[in-house]
Amino acid sequence: MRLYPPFSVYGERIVVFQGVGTPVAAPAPTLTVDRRLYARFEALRSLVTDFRSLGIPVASSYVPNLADLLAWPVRETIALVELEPSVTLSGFLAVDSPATTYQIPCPAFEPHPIYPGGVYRPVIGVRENATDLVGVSSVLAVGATQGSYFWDAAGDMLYVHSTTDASPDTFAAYQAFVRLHLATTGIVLNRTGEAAGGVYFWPWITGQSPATDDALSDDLFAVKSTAGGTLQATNGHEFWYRVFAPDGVWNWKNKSVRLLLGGRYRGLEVPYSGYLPLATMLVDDVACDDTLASWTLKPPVGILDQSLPVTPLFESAWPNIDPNVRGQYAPIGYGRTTMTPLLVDTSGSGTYLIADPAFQSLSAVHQVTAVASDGTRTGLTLTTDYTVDLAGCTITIVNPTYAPSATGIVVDVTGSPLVTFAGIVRDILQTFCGVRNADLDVASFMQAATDAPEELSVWLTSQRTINSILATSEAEQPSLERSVLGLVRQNSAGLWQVRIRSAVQSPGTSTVELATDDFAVFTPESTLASAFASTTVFFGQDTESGAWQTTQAFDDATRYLQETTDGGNPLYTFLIDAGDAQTLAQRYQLIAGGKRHSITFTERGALLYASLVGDVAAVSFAPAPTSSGMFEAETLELSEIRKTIAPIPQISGVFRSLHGLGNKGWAWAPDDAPDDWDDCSDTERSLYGFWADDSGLIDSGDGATANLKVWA
Amino acid sequence: MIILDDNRWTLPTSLVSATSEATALPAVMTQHPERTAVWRSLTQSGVQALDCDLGSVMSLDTVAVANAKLIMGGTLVLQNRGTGSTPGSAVTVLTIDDLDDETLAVLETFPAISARHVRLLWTNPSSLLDYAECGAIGLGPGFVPVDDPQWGFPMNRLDPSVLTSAPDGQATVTQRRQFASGEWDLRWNTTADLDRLRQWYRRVGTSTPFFASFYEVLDWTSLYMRLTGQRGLTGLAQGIFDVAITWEETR
Repeated sequence: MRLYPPFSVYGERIVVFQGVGTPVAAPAPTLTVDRRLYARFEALRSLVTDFRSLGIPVASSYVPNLADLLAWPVRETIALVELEPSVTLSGFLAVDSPATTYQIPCPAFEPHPIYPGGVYRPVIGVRENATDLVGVSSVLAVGATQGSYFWDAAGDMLYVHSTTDASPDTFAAYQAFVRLHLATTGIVLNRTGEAAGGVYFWPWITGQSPATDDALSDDLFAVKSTAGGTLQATNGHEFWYRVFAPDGVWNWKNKSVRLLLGGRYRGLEVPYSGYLPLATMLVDDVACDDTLASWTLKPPVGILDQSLPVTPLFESAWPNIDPNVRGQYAPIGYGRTTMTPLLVDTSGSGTYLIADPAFQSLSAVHQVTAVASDGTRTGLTLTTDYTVDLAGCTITIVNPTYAPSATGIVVDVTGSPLVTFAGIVRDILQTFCGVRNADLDVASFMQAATDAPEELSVWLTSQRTINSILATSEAEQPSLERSVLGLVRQNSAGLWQVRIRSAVQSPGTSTVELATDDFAVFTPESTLASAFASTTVFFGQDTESGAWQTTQAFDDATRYLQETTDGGNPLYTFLIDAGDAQTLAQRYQLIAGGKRHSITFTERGALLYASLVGDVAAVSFAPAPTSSGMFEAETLELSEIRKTIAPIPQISGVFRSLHGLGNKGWAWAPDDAPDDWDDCSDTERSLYGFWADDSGLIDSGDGATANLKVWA
Repeated sequence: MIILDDNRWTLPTSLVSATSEATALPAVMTQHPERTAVWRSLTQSGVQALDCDLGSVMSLDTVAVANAKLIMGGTLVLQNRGTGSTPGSAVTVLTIDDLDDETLAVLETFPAISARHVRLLWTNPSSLLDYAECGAIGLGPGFVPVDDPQWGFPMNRLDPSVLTSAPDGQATVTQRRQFASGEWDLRWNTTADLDRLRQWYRRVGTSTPFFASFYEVLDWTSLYMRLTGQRGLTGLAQGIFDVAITWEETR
């Protein structure tokens, strides 16, 4: 049979092939065409009919996708739930001699008390104690590779080669991670990486479903995620009794649960690859009864609850430690600072610890200064007076004149060379939270490094939670997000992202557009209480004395018009440069200080399903509390967003305007942008912010530039 | 009216196999009560078939399928493969009608056969590269009550979709699968019919889906359904009984 090549009719690519599947209808947009073009369409329609009458599938190149599904007002939304518990493995048998490869039965289907055949549960990973083994493609490859496994799905057998060649039974814990597939409706989807031909998602999800709720808990900062809740599935079939059994082999605590959204519309079905991961959560508890099984879920962001620094100093590591240092923590340091090191060895003329060598090294020790009891400061000389161990993060005084009994020591030091917000956040996540590269949205970190190049000095000497280090409004406690107007968040796929508000809406970034008919609830809230007239930024803390440098920004218009002299929450930062601090003060006063819109909303559809806290949307709504009586593509930021999937997908939350930025897609002018208004293109003028003089003119000689700026 | 009240395909003693099957969608999925839990063949250019060894010779006169996908251009055929302990040559019993678009099911009757081995064959006349699929199968002797409610049975079709409105009234509809429901009122049953209905209710209750057709000539009256309520039983006169049962199409 002749195979017809693809051909085009006015951009619509029709592929005719001998292939698979039921013919699907392409979406049918309304199109007005002239008579000649209509004749060509009719000819094409006739051709397609002829092909189908011959049994030749004719399919559109159009791929159903979630965006179109969510935009279409009549759709069948389907939520998928992928549970990834583990099964304890014991009773391995050696396959070869001398033994390196061990096998254990591991069926592809979990027996079901009622349903013949059971429930498909492919092995997706094997873990030896805390080490994930590498998946390989054959038994032979297992024998050749320490720390590997191969699951023979057809043979229902798992082959393992431990990391030490020893029998897996000699380890404290061996577990195989499996995946169970559930959904709100029964559906077969071709899940990439699993069985060819498709996987059945059991229609067992019912009743309650987990919801995600992410909100800015501290003004513009600190994304607080309360994703979780209860997931419920049917259990009339009694499947879950045995897989929840405490005396069984299944492990559920802290195992992953992934929620995805997709569905069908206009007779088309979104393929698995088009389903959107809504959230990844962890199991906290499980239970079941005659009718329901339930999982109590929690968000994975709990890893930010741990504290830094982590290593306390005791005699066990430092036998001659100064009693005054005993119990303190080895500091963690990024960037340059002047600090008092910890006397960890009083023998000889003293050895001082600057940072924790378990997690970092020093980049440079610039200066060591002896401080006498009368305050006299003496610069010391390398080799003559002290030696440096950059890897060990110590300096050792070799000149008895400066022994601890005589003087104190102060060092000017650079710890980790990472000095920007993006670099430091990434290092904290990866070094202390176990976050892998694959768990990062690397592009967002690269963008943030560009958006926030300000140099920071982050030296952590006493314990704080990582959450607090990232963002806190507590006085005297600097935080990373407040230092650069940054945000640390996880996207719906569980990837860690960072975002800087210096790019409120980056050029070229698509924005969700919402109109009146996209909302079911749209309720403006009060806006005056949050106005303030000045912002104070604390920076450059002297770690010897604890003293801060400060800078302030004032908004006289707010001061007089709102009749308030209130200051906003002061920003305690890790900044070291006065210019950076002043810029931050101005920016924060601009976007947070004045009257702001705040709107509580519930979506009619689900256009914001992929959006995160901190994202912006273009909102048109009438009537609305603006001087024009309506929002016209108003740029609003999501300060809270809640997502639920059952009984129907629903998005609700809070929009907030960024005051002085007005109704614009907006970014701070980058360093390489023209800083002279006259040299800017119209696009740059509409895109970037510019300083104005006290008269409100961006260009003091051009009255037309009055009121184009936003702060004075 | 025909009720497939004793499905031999799903008996624990019936062994189901296929010419080919996707790893996670084996032939045994057709014995699941979930109609969406399907057997799916591999994508190949030949015919595909589901074979069933009933374990012993049985009398069969009714076949039904739900959620089946035919191979492009092909048909679905029921074949008798004999009464021996091993399958014999296939003799075509009937070509099954296409599934109804609304109920995604079809039920057919045929002159009674005795068989231990039966085959459902997905033909592939154009040798297209395609796959076959089937969610649920019914096979057995059908039950035709004395009182046939084909005239005047109540059958409602429900749409449980959820509608959310905007302030101006525009609506977003979260579609959910429509389904039929109703109530049978089988009057004038003899004692023999009553016994069979009682046995059937005890066997399937509200838990086990089954096939039925209200009027075999009309494909849209063939349903894969389950009972949803209590069985009402009224003695009208000595030896004559009225049985009422509510039902709902499975989704």
